[in-house]
Amino acid sequence: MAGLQEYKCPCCGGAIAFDSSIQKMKCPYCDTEFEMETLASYDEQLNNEKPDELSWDTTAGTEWLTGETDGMRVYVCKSCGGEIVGDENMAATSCPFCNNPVVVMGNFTGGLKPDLVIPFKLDKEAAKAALYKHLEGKRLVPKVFKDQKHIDEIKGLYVPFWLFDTDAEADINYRGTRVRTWSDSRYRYTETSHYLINRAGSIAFDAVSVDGSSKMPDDLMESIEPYDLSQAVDFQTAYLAGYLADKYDVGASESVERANQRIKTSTEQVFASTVQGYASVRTESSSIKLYNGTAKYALYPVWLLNTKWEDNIYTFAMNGQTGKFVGDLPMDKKARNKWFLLIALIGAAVVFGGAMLFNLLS
Amino acid sequence: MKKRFAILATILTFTLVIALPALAAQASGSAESTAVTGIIAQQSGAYVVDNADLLTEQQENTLKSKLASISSRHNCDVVVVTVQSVGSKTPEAFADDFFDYNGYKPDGILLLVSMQDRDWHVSTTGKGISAVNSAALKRIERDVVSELSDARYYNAFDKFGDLCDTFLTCQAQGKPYKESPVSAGKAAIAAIASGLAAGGIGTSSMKRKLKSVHRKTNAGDYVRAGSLNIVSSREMFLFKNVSRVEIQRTSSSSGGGGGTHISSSGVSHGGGGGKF
Repeated sequence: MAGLQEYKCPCCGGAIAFDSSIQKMKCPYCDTEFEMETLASYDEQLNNEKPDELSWDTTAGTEWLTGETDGMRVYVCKSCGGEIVGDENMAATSCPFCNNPVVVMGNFTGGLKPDLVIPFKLDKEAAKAALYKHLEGKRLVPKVFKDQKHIDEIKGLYVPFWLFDTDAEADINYRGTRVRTWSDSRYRYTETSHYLINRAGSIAFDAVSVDGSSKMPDDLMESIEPYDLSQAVDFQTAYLAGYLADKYDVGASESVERANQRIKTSTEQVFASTVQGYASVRTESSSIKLYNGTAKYALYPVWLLNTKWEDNIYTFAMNGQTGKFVGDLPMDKKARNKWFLLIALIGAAVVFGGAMLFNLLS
Repeated sequence: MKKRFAILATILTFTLVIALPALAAQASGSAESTAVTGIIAQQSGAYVVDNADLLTEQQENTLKSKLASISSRHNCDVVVVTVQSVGSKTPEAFADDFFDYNGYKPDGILLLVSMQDRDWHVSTTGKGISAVNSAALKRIERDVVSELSDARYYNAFDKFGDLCDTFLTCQAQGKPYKESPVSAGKAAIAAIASGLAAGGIGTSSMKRKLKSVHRKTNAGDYVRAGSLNIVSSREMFLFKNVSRVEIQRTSSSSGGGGGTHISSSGVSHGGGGGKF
């Protein structure tokens, strides 16, 4: 025998009972009335919920061929411990992460060979021009950031990225409301109708990129996205000539967490955008299943410049393909105070003058 | 001593004999007004009628001469009337009738103060109607009625005289009365406050420009074009609830300033009033 079916009120969550006088289910706590069928199908819908299934094949990259890495050297920074890869002809350089000199550690060994590389499309001059443009109109920036000699230090670096492709199946429940208002001579009435909305379907993602270098701040790299992968080519060591390359130190299986978060959020957002015509919508439950998930290993071009100011390092980064330029800047408090005073004086003068003019005219 | 008394008595009698016919004449002249307002203006066309006895003799005289001078200058009677009660009439009807039946000029501004229900009313006639526009009435309410509320009656009436003078002057110059513009002190305070606000907003917007690094929470850039395929799309009605809110009716103690009405004597009046 089936146990006594107990329903929960969709309005307040309390246990709900059958009211014989109105022949309906009525919540004893919030007095909301329901049809029996509504509750049954509501219950059924919510019991259908499945947990997320986010499974991946994270094998990416290939083994190096014999002799392929002969011309590549690993340089290490004695100051921050950063390891970078360059070719054997590279002149003495400084660490792209902390500006201290780096030394050759030896031949490049180990690691995986990237599947793809997006070659640098914008050169150093373009990067410098973008930096000047980035600083333009920012009046509170300390002067050191605009120093020409320092700006020459900008470096091109290939940053390792894991690219995740996947199909996603989603089954999402939303709670939505519609509101109707009217009024009579005494009262204004507001009727709020509540609905359970369901959307199920599929969506696919290509090359969701997560950087595989612990030295590169994730937020900085996510800010210069996206890269256009249609311009990517199969990796050849020749592309590294004249540039530095960072070695990945965060594996694909560790990076996939971040990709999962972003894919889940995006799927929910895209599905929610199909729920329209409601006064309010919120996600009640969502179940997302990923399949055919694969990973690739790629190098993306980034122009990088570190600037030290008041014991903090500020990093600029430019997408070496699209030219998107980002970098948080510190505020020069003296400049801020100067501008505050100036604007305040002008503002006060304008208001006072306006008031006096108004007096004259009226 | 006896002689002195006799002289005094004679003078008194003489005065009475001369004054009686005049008094009788006035009584018959205002018989109509007695019927309408129940109040007799001691003197036809008096500028101050203080039946509620709110002013001292001296204040009354000063006010009288002030209002007389304003009235003659503008050829428009400016009158102050105080009563204990307006009886069964509305303050508006009482003020209108008082003006119509007491031999005033066809143009005038009358301030009525009734103590029992703490009513004030300004009744305007002729060119007084256009002189006391709604801005003027607001000014009276602000400057005069506040004094009445604080029981400074003489100040209130004195101020009323000054204001009527201003209103009538504005009208004579062909410029309708407007609220006096912003004072320099207020302008300075507003200027400092808005200067500080502008400085704050300006520098904080400059500061916002410094931040360009943000995490991306979604993968919207990587959605494969055209890959979205919704296979099921359902909506289920759950329940509804209705709430109601009583509609607030706005009520104000002050009467309307705009528009005119016809009093019992058929004369068009304007003005407005309220409680103090």
